[in-house]
Amino acid sequence: MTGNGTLISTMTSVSLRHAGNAMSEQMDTIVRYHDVSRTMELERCVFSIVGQSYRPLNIILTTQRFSEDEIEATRSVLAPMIDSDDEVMLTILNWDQAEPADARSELLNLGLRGATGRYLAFLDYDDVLYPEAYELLVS
Amino acid sequence: MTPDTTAAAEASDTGIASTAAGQLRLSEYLSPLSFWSPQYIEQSAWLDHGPFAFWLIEALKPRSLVELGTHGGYSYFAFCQAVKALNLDTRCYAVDHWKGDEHAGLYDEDIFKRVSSHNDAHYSAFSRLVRTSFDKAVEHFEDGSVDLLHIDGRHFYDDVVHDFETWRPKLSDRAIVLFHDTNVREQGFGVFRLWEDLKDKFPSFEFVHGHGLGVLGIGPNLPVAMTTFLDAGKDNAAAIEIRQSYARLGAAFKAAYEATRTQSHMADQLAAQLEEAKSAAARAYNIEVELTEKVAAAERRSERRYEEAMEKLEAQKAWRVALEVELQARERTIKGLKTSTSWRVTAPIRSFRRIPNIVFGALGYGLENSVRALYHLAPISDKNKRRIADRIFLLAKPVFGRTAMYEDWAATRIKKKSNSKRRRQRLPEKVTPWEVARPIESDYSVAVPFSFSPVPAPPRLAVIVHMYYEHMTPEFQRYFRNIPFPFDVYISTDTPAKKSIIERFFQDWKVGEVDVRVTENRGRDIAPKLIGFSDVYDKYDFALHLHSKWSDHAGVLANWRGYLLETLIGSKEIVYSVFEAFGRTPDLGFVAAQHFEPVRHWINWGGDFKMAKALGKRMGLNLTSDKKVLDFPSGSMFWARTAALKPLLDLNLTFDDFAEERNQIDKTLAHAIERLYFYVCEHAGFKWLKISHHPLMENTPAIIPIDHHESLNLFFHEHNLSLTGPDLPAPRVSHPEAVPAPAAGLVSRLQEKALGSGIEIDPATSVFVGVVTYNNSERQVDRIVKSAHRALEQAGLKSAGRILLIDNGASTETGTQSNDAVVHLPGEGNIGFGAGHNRLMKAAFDKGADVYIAANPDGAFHHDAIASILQMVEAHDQRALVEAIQFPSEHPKQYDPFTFETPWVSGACLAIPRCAYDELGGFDDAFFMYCEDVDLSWRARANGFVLRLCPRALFLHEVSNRQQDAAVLRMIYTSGVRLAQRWGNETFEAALVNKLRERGFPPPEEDLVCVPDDWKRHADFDHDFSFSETRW
Repeated sequence: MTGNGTLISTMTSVSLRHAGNAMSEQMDTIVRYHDVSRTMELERCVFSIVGQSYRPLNIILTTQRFSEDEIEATRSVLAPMIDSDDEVMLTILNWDQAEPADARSELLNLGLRGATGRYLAFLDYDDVLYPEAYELLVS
Repeated sequence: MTPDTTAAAEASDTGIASTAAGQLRLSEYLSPLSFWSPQYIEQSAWLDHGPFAFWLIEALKPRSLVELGTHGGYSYFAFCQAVKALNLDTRCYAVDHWKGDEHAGLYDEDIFKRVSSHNDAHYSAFSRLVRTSFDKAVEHFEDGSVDLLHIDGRHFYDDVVHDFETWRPKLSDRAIVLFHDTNVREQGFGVFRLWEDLKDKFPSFEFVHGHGLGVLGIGPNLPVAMTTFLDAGKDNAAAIEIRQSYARLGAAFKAAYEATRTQSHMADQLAAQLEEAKSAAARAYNIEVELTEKVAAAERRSERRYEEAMEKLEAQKAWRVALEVELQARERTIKGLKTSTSWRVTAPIRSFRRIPNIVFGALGYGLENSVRALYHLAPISDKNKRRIADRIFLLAKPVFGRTAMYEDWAATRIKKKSNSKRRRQRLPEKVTPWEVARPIESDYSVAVPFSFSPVPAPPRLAVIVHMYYEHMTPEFQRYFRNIPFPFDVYISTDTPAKKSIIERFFQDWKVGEVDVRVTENRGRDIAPKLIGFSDVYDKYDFALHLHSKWSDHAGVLANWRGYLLETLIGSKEIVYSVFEAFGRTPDLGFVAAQHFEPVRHWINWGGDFKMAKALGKRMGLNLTSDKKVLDFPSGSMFWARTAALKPLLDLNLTFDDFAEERNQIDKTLAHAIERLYFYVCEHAGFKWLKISHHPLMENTPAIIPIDHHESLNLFFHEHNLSLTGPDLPAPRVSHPEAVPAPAAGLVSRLQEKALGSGIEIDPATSVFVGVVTYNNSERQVDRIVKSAHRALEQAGLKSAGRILLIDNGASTETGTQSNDAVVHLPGEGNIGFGAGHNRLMKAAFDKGADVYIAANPDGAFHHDAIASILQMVEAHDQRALVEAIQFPSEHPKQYDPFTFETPWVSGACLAIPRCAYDELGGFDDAFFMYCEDVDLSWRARANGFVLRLCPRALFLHEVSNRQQDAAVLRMIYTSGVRLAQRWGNETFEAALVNKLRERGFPPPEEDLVCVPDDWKRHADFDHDFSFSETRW
């Protein structure tokens, strides 16, 4: 992770399995997620990312003012899709400013600061991708 | 005492004597008085002892009785009631200070006032209330003068001993002492201790119900009736019988009391609602006046604005009129409650809340006068005044219908009608057909299940179903499982092929007889059920009429069938409730579902009155008017007592009486009969009942909960819904707004049931995943294997050895060696997709598989996919082929969003249960690749399986960038030719043969044998290679 003091004060890194490696072929996908009850959509979204023919992948889920429990619940819902594939990572970054706000841009920037790969993509939590999408784009 | 030998001899002669109780005769402990009802009801722990109190007074005929601790007076007045009715010469004394104690609680003066006024009103000739302490009262009684002493004062041991000892000298030589609360052992109650001391010293008997009542025969010269009773009670078996008899009689009292309490509570609630509604009506009226003024002003400005204002005014009026109708309905309800017997009985115990009818009356009066004033004074042209007046009168008919003002107006209308054609055309009677349903506010139904969990006796039941759509059979079977008794099933359908499919679905059915008959396709479901099984009804007391009602899933009626099934047989509890109702109400003939909300606004005669009238006439049923209130089991599914169908069955209708099937939506005999069912029921001497299940209703009021069988009696009493007889309610005034969609609760419930949500997968279920590879990348093979492995584990199933692979191309064995879930079958070269799966399937089922899941190598299971698929297989009793939904690109073929039925299932990810493999034998090897799944699907349908798409099971499938090269096209076309040959479609075959030739490929050489003719209706060659209508 970066050592930016301001950043650390506003986010919680929950599952960051590896750091650095900035110039690998890794594709970082930033997914903003602000409502913990929408796991059904999020699951489909992540299933479509994990289903990409492209590897390696790092899914950066930026959450908005989630509690520790909510982060844990989200992580465990996604775990079965992530855990068995060595080339897929899940990084959850929580935007935890004290007051509620329209933080759509903040969540993107938070994801950007957490990105470490060669490529970067955005996907909304309620969208899905064709399995060949990243492979085609990168090629 | 001396046993009454004569009586015993008589008993054995007549055979009345209970074998369990030896010599015990009913007359020794029961008399007609035991079945009396108390005139005075009061919440009391003594409530259940009323029947014995009556009997006791008759048996003992006391010259004087003293009650210590009268409190609310229930027991005391029960004694008095018997004394008065038997015209005995008994002096009665109720001793109490009427202040309460630790056990009864402290209470206010109202209780004494009530007891006192009831006593004055009914028993003052022989009864005195002695308002003092027991110790002071005792001084007023002479020794040896009391024949019946009832001790029910303070209940501490010392108190009750004190009371007993103080009063003992007053007891006569034929005295009986009653001790209440002999069976209470908490709160320091000590009566049971004294009872233990006394019960063996004197002849005695103890009731254990109603807190316990001890009967002590303390006098040495008791009357014979008492000694007989006390002696009989010495026998253990007899004692049990006596206790049970009185406990049951007492329970009935208690139940009646509770019912009246519920009723008075209801009345209070309704009164409060009435107040609310009235103030709303007053507000509505004010708005109306304002609007009327605006109308007048607008008229002065322009015609267009006038129309706008008029519209607003009318909307407002319609709303107010609806309110008025509701007010009337509520007032009727309260009036009904207040005039019912039970209401009067409970009058003394209620803080009576007077319903201010005066206010309500004044509202109507005020309205009438204000309208009159406005009408005369408003600066509006006479023409428009008339317009306004006409509309007001028409809308307000239910409120003003009986006023002179209305009648005057109505008279002028009639004149105008005959004078002016133009007028007639403008009359709002253009609402056709006539509205005949009850206003929804007073269209009462009872809530099922009842809240008191009845378990009635099993009925003799025939389930009679017309199954035009034979693939709905598993859905119906799922509902049949909710019938918790044995029953026989009678199914009609219109072709032998459908009959054989239905029979396949029932091949393992064990609940009762199944009789499937082919009937003519006439008279919809009605004729087959009535005529096709006319020989059946006499054998059963009850019939359940159902049919495979189908409606386009894109339409609002899509869930009508589901609604009716859920309401009528949605759970065991509902079925129990239905038979509780039939059991408790011998003259109940029909139980039908309340109308499906989206059809409510169509409840009318349609064009069927004439036909119904003619048919009614044949039954001796005189339909007088098509304007009278009407109701019927819309959708023609219902529970019925077969006796209630008799008038219709006795007509001996034949199929020829019914019109030929031409997809009519109205004006057939079948439609007329549907509307006549409740008439038939009433004509046979029965009444009918509509039921509602709350979660399925979002827009339906007047659903009455049933928490006791008495509340059902009350329902009939208060809301006796009928179509004939006096005092019929007025039908609704205007056409109600259509309910645009069924309740969300209904839709989700039907979906959950079809999905099998909540079904636990047995961990011992043996599930094999089979993958046929053909030169797939290592990454793809790794992905399908890992995802299958994970999905098996997620479903709680064994995974070792459960993933079977066969390589039609390059070997994948090295890549999967380390995975103990994977077993490779020896490759046989490129034998084709179906043949590959057939090898794997055989291996799986040889190893005892329950379900085989075919999966494409270029896909991946979502981790919950296998669990979801298996739930759906279970939900259809394994008689379903279930495919996962492909993700993210779904196949465009249709599926029903509520039942998830689909015309064929794709082999990309497909579950095949063992019975399907046994009966269908897997894929057809004649197809090399493509269309083998379509062929299997159609064969499955022809052999009694259903096809389902599971939207909860995601299967990732890489289809977006497939190259359709010449070789692939050749395979597709060739398979298409084979499919067309197999299913006998020459057009499709010829077109594809051409396409092959155009590309320089020879068509397949040998012809395939065609399937039997009656299978062909399952094939669909009208939609190219989609083999189904498509969603896009």
